[in-house]
Amino acid sequence: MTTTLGSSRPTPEGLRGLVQPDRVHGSLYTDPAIFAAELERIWYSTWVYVGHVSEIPRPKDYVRKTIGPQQIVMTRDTDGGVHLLQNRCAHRGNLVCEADRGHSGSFRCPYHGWTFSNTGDLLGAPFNQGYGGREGLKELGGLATVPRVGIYRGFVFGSLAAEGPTLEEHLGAAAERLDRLARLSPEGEVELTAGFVQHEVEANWKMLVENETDGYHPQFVHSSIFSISGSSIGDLYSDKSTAVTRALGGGHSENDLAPEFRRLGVPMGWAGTPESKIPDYVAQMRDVYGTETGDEIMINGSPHIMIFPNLFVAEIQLFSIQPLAVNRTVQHVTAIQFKGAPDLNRRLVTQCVGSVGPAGMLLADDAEMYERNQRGVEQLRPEWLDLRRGLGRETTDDDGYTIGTATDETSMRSMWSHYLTLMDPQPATAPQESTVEGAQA
Amino acid sequence: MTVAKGDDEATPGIELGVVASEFATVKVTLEQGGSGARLRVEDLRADAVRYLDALELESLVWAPEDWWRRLLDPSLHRWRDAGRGPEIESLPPG
Repeated sequence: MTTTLGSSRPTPEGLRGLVQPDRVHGSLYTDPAIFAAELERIWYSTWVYVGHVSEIPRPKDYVRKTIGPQQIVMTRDTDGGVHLLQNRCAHRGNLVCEADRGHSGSFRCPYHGWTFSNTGDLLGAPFNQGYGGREGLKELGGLATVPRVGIYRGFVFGSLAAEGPTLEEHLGAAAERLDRLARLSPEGEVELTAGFVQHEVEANWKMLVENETDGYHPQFVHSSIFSISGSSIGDLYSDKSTAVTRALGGGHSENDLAPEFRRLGVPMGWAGTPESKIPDYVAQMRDVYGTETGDEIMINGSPHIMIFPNLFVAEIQLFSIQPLAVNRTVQHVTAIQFKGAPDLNRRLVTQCVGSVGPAGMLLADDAEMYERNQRGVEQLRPEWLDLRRGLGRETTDDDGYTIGTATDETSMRSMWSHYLTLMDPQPATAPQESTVEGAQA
Repeated sequence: MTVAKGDDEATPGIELGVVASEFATVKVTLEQGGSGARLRVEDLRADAVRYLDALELESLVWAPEDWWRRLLDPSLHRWRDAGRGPEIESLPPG
């Protein structure tokens, strides 16, 4: 079968032919028309992770973020509300904010001086008699706001569609994994204050999403860092492992390594950090949660979850995936920090420098695979990518979720199934310009 | 050209620092004169200076939000239409 969409707009029937239960077509990674449809139907329609409230702790703080190729400014107003603004002057469309982050309650476009509040309102324009004076300014627009802003556990999500499922509905079971992450803080809060590194790869964004909870590749792709560091993480991704790959619905998936961590039974064993290295943290966790619960939290560890379409929590680090073109994607990466845990946080930063820093070994391994994969799927034959690993041995867990072994492709199959529901022929929702109240952090 | 509001007599002061963003760069100095203290606020990008006394500073603290929003309108002062008033309102009178 030859299924090539070329540059024409993909039809639902065409897409259904490309996404099958046990395989997907290579053009899904290479066709610009499909990428354009994905922006419209996924990135500009569903909830997308944007940033974290800890990145703008004070009123008037702002930080530049993205929703796919869209430039977003995340701000905090004087009442503590969080706003997501499109970084485009209402006058001539210039980028208003250039710095990655800053502290300013108002933004002045450098082109003609139009000035906006950090909630998007137009405060004024130079020489306003040209617009009929101050009264005339009321006819002019402010910065466009992201129609819906939702916050869960400090994680800020935005939706460019004015209507649709709530954030809670979107997150589903993934919300509990963010709860689990936050409980690793003695104060119950995650902080993203370590700064971000951006890794750009010449690959389609879905390759990254698929890879994040692919438990089949670590023993091959990451064998060098595992052997150099003496890490036993690789052993968690084998057919002998009790870890599972779980489809959480909504395109979300996880590698649940907690069964292995519980078998190990060592607090902070998941982080490869003995208690003796972080005595203050361990003592505080036991003090706050009680010894039994505190140890349980520290044994179960941090989640390894891909929250569709762009938030990946990999135990100690967080990735935000940003598609820019059909074959161009940026990963924004930072070390997760836990409020009230300075000794642990220092180690996490050091570990992340080694894994995903500019010279880190883990992400470099993956990046090489992404780009080789992209070049590979651009070849004409075979046309399909295989997804059948573990298809015949999937089971349902006590909560009703489909699970496979640690190395099965359960997560990919569920992602593609959800992908099809989003790419369905329902009328696409274009980005809106309505104004909503700032969400309270 | 230095545009100054108040007197521009040099007074020894303690440079408190530069408050900068991508939108503005301002140097703030605390000056102690024989009659009292004032804050010297200098727009480093435009070479303009304003002096603020204690009561003016206190008034800033109490100024309502609408007043601040109005103040940030560039048409109000620095970029007024020429026919509406002084080209640069903060020029010292006469």
